[in-house]
Amino acid sequence: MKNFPTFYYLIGLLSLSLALPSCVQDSCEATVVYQGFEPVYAKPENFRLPIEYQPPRHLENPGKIYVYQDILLINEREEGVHIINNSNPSSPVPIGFVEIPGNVDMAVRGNMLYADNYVDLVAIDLTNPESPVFAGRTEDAIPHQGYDEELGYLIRYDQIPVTEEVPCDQYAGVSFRRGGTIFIDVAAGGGAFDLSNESSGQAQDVGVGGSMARFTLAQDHLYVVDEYNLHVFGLAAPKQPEKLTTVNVGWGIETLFPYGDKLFIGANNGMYIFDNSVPTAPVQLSLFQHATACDPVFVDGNTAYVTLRDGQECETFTNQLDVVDITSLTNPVLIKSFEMHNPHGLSKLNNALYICENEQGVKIFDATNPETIGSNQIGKMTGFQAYDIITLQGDLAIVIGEDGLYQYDISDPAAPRRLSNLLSL
Amino acid sequence: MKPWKAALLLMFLSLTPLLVKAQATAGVGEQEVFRPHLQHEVQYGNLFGNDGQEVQNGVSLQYIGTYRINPYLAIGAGLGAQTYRFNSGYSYFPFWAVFKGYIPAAGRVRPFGQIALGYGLALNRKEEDLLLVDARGGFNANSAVGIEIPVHEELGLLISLGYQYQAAESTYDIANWWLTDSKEIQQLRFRRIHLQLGVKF
Repeated sequence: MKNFPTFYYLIGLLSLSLALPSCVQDSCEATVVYQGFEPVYAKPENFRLPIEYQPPRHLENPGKIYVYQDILLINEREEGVHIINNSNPSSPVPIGFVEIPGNVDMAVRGNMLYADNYVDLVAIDLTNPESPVFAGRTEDAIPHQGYDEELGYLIRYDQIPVTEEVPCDQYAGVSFRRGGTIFIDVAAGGGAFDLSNESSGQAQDVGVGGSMARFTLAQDHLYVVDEYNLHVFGLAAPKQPEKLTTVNVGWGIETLFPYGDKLFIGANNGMYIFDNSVPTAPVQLSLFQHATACDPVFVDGNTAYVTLRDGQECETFTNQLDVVDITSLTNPVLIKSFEMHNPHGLSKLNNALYICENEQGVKIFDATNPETIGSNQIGKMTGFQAYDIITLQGDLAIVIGEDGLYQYDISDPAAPRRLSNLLSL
Repeated sequence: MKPWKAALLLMFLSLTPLLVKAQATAGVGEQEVFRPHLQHEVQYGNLFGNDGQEVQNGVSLQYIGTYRINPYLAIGAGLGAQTYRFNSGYSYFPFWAVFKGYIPAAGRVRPFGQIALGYGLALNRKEEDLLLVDARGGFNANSAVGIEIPVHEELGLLISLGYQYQAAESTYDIANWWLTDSKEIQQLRFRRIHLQLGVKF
């Protein structure tokens, strides 16, 4: 019994310790891990230099592809253009590399290669592909996002992982969570366009691009799209294209596909159709709207094929093929949608539709009946990541992706035969 | 030293000499009637504290099974369920090693002290509404003093007041304009006053 008061002493001691506020208060240390966007600038004095021609080098980060006669051009993202002698698709021969800082897109007309050099448009004479010659430069041809006297042109934002110690429930980014509610800071939204995102146009002395192109040649003019606009360049002076007009299109513009005297523009919110019969004054005919997505376009006859895909830059979760009747260019009508895996570039030759399905390679569909295309897969090309594809008369398919360049004989679309590949490092 | 560590140490140091003293001074007759045995406890409790912004009251339910070695000491193990905030994502399944010390008393009421050390598993690993994508538990400990009121033979009522600690980690997705992969990882330390009622059998 004489020990019993000790019990009360213990309770008192415990109560005292509990009475300290910090003893009964939760503590929380929070770390936020997010993708930050770091501005990247380019100083004019660092890129407005004569374009240099170098010996061939390995593919490292291949982007878009372009075919001009027997020459195959492969963009090395942000670095330049590989020149490949493709006279024998079974054995393509790299012959050189044109170093063009900031380059993601290209087009060729009359032996003149037009390529973006950050905000400039450069012309390179390919008359002798083994010895290209820098021909000219049009400054400030490509829209940019800003200019800083000290830093130069703001050309893009790079994603970087950021880890920050923050107070719990007080994340200061574009969104934060407090008490189970998600808040989004609408004032913090920002736009960044990247010409590297997404390239087919054809004529006599012009080459052929992929469906992911932002550059194309039509009606003796060079057309370039940025995030919002369509820019028209006159080629009267081939070495120094002159910007003639800019047409506001909308938002989320990604790809440009010429067909006859029409331009088909793929955008996040749909496919724009422009009449281009007056090359310097394209006129919008219609907009075929679809779910927000990234959407390269390919057109053949009265049918347009639009692939919609998800992804970080595409702001959606949609992956499908839309087949659109464009008999009436002012009133395009959806024929049918087909579910896809993650479709990127596409092309069509004869009755076969070729769709790049990212890491699943290329899927080949019988396009005879637009109503049943998606359920009529007849062949495939697998074993590599596929980003864009060009099909050419002569039954040749050229596919580019992260893993490199692949060429196939598609005389039998159901059983494509690989001719060659140039692998990335 | 962290407050919870100080509280635990304080409790432990306070109990140890008491038990030694109790052993040394306990009546001979009490030792003679004692038989080592298993005992079971089921307790319901309230967890009082705050998260720095508002008061948080949670609840607990636990079972403890101990082996009474001698009149003064029992050792065993326990498990339970505890929620520290009434939002999903803050509930845990603790399991412990338990040490109980009994203080001799002349009356029917038997004071005791208890320390439990273990690990609390997170109950909710994912909760879409809260964007909770992962939850992990952590170190769980409690100390308490209380009384046991015998009712009938081995049956007794338990009342205790204690201190409860739980470490945990919760990971939340953060929505943003670009649908980029953003996460907030919270290292949490819950500290609560633990008032429990229960039965012993």
